[in-house]
Amino acid sequence: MTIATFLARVAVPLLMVGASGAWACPGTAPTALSLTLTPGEIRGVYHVLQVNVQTDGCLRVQRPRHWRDAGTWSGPVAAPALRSGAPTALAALVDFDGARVRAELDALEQARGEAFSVEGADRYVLRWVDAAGRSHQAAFDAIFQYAERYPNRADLAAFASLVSALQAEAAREDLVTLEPQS
Amino acid sequence: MSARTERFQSHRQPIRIVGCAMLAVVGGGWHAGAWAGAYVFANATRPDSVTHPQVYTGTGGVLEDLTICIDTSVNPALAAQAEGAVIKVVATHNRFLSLAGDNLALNAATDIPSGQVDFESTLLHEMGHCIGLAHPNHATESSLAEPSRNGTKSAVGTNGVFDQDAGADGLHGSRDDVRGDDLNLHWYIRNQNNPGLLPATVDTTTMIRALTALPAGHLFAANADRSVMAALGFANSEAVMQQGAFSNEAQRHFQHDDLVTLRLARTGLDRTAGTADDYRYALRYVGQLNNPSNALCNLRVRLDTSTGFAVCGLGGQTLPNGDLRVTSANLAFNSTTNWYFTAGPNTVTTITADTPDPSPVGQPFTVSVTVREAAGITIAGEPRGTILVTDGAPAPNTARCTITLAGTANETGSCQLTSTVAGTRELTADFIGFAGWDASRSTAPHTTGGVSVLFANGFEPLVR
Repeated sequence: MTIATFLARVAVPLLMVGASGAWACPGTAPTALSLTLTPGEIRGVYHVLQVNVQTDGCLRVQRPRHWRDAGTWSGPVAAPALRSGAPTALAALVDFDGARVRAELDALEQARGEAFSVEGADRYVLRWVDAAGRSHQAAFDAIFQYAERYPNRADLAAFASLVSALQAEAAREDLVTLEPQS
Repeated sequence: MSARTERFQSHRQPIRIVGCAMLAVVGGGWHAGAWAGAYVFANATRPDSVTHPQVYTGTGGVLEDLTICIDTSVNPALAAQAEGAVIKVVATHNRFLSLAGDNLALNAATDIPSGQVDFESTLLHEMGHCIGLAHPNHATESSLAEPSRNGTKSAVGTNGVFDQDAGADGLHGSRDDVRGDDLNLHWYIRNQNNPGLLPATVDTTTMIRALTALPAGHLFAANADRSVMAALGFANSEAVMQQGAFSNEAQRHFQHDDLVTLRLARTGLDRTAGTADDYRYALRYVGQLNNPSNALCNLRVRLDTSTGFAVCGLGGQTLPNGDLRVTSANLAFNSTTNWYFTAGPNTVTTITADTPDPSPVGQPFTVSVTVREAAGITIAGEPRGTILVTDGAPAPNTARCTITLAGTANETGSCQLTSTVAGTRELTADFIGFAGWDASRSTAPHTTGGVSVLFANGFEPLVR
């Protein structure tokens, strides 16, 4: 083990033990999976939630300014499915085209003489790197409302499930603050 | 007289105030001429479609109440904290009044602690969506960046892109925006282009969506963005439905643009005021319910993680004339947000005197009213704005007067009512709110005696 590797994997985490006793993780490893959540109804770039799952099993979260515990937080990933890279959920999203899905759903509503809209929709963007090193991205607005409206859509269910798991990680109380937001 | 002050509107007895009738009495500071907003579901293929709330199916009249509840199936303790704000928003909707300016306030001019987001203001916005109102601006659904997304709501034209250009004044959303072939979706009053104005009559005889009735020199429909409003001379003014909340901001009063849009919808399918298909309804809070059905609760308020901040998801159904009605509406608010939940109005309105009491029929009596901060509330300055006073007599014999508070310390305002019908009734003083000051109400009994006759010698007889 080189000095640099030792610092990254052992020494720095030791120095980042939070008051709760939980371990903070270094931010040096590449991101394997991430969620970017941009709310529609509140203004400003500081209101974006960013959740990064790193290849070393660490989690790095930028909680938005409007949250009760805003700032940068870190800790080991807790959910087993996320620790293993969420391969099942991501496999269902490799070819996901959010714009195409929306067009399909809008056409379906129109054919039924109905309409569906989510006002102030939030934008959810998932980015990940697969086992072969290829980068992927899937984006959708108001994923939870659409997944509820169309419960038989496996792609929407997979997207919502993964977002939900990442949000749960982001909100964990045992994460360690790296940079509280004033 | 014994004055009674109400900090809440009872959800069991929603006030049914008919917008047109109530607005007709509003005096100084309320303007004629107008502007309006946009509707959910209107788009390039149905630009003139108006969206109506769930309780409207095409038949006019007084509709059943539109119900709203708090869903306690998730985060019940947090959801319960929202109740005060929900009750206040119901009251705001049922008052059906609006302000030209000063419908918002920031920081020390509010009761919101530093760093928190006002739940009530956000709820008022989302509730507007859930009864059919869209953002009057492009908003995030356009995918345009700030500040271009402040431009007026529209659909792309044949070139497939928004041609949003702020024009000479540099303000997106103002009347000189250069918009290429963009299709306007924003209703406005013919030959007017000022969102700070309010018309006496709202229907398609005065309003239009197409750009064919813009005043000379105007290039596009303006919206009630705060910068646009400031340039027009209306300080602290922005449509509630304009997208974009801020921390430490209170926006708990409708701006004229909001109300005009609601009033246009209420003219029914023919969009002509005063016809049989006009409708009105009250919003009614039905309580905290566990995963309620739409039959129990038309507008469901939930605090969870199905949104990063706040959304309204709504289903719609086409009506015979191409309009739409809402068929389902769910409001979601992020449960990790640092919300400020109001417990009740931050003002207390009190009728301090009504003299003489009893008063003779046909003779004026003076009603004195104060508006103070509620206990535990600290807001910079003093309450100011309009108080509407009525004698409680049924229409068309209702006597009304208006008090305008200037905002001085320990101020008492007064006005004179002249009741024309004998009896003991309940006086009502409605402070309609101003900037960070919430609306509140006071009531007091008052007796009007028999016929008053002035003797030839100038003396007034005893009331009989």
